[in-house]
Amino acid sequence: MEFSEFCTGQPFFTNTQVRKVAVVNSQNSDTMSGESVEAAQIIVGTSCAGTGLDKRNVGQVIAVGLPFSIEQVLQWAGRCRASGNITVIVPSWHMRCGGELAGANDSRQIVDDCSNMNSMWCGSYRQLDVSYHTFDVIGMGRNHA
Amino acid sequence: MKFSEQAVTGVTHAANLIAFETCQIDHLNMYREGLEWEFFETRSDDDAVDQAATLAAAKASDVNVIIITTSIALCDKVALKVASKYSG
Repeated sequence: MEFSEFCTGQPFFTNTQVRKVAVVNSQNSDTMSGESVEAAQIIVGTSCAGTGLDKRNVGQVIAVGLPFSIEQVLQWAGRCRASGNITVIVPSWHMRCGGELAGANDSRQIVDDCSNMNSMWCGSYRQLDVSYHTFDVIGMGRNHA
Repeated sequence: MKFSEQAVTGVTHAANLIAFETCQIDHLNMYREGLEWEFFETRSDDDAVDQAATLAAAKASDVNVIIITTSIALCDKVALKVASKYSG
């Protein structure tokens, strides 16, 4: 799959199963319709998706990266209205960066270094001009055969 | 692999993981009835992304899944990986 294909937001996958994935971030959270969110089976979002997102039948919340605070994790867990699983997946290097949950004995320099590294990484990634929309991941798609 | 099962290298990491998994969560009563918590540490961002996408794909047949990332870059990577799970 070419990255440019993904960025178009056009459906391009074929499979026997149908999945809908919505990507929610600070750039589109205000404009994304409730219907789109409700129709999606998998929502991928930044921390803005962890608050105020009211979706039914959420049984699994996956946090990727070290949450900024323990209260934030609790807030994210609230996306599961009833029973469910909360999985927190943290890359090792996140544990050395700032935030309530990171090592308290790390120096400020390390925090700054990590912040700078993260900013550079995000900046270069954004240069790809990614603009996501709700899209069908499977079904109705271009035939790869 | 679970935090508690991983051979964590470094005293600081181990202390962080223990605090994260037990003390702070217990302190704030984060164990809500019906919710199960899992904690994983991965070697890299890419490993975390792959693990999240794999888990989401496995669970999505039964329940709706929300993946929350701590940066836009991670969000983009996870979205791509989730999509690739279904690209056939």
